[in-house]
Amino acid sequence: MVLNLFPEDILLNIDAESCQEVLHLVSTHLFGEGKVKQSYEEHLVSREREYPTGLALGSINVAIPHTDYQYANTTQLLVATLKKPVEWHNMEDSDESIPVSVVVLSVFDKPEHQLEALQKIMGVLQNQELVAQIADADSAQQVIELFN
Amino acid sequence: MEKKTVIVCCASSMITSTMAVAKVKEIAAACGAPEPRIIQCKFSEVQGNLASNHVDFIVPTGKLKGVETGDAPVIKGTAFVTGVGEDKAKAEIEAQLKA
Repeated sequence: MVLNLFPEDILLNIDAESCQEVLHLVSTHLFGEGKVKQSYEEHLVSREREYPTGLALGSINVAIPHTDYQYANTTQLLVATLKKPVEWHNMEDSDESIPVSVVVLSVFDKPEHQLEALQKIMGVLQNQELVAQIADADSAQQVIELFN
Repeated sequence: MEKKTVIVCCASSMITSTMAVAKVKEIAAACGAPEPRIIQCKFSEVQGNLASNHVDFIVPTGKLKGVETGDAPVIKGTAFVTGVGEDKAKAEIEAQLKA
């Protein structure tokens, strides 16, 4: 399967102070495009609070926030690179925080797409060299190519 | 080697646990252990499944909070999502499957 990534949903070098701010920025962006429902942010945030998605991958860490398919109108990714890392709770141990530099939001409107897409995403994210290139990318096209 | 019963669990959407289930089956096949009976569930269902099944070990992909796991060993399955520390987690699961 090809991961759906669109240049308008690749947000480079965003300036945020916290994980909450990142989630707010990306939810607002997607809602403005009509790609998610209004309640998306609320569900994304509460799921993240209960079950965080920060992944300790090495020197560059990534978060993969997601929520249930009912709140989205499309199946695609949004990728945000952060100007400076923000503290994110670790999936492995939610009492711990790790600095996260890249956020890969998977948006799904059908549950059956979720697993295959996430496996493909993880295939990319498990490679620190690719993650470093994503973190440093200066064009949306570059990020899209690194994922596919 | 006895056939084992394993709980593989994650937060809610069954994604990361599905990734871990595939790995557990792969490990069993590779080490010649019988394919375990796998109970895949949400964190919130673990306690109930422990009460109604004899469970040999648990593989959660995140932190299991507020669950009394009793004698059942817990092996973190986050490595099957991140790829970090995967060999160690595989070895621990293999040891449990062969126990």
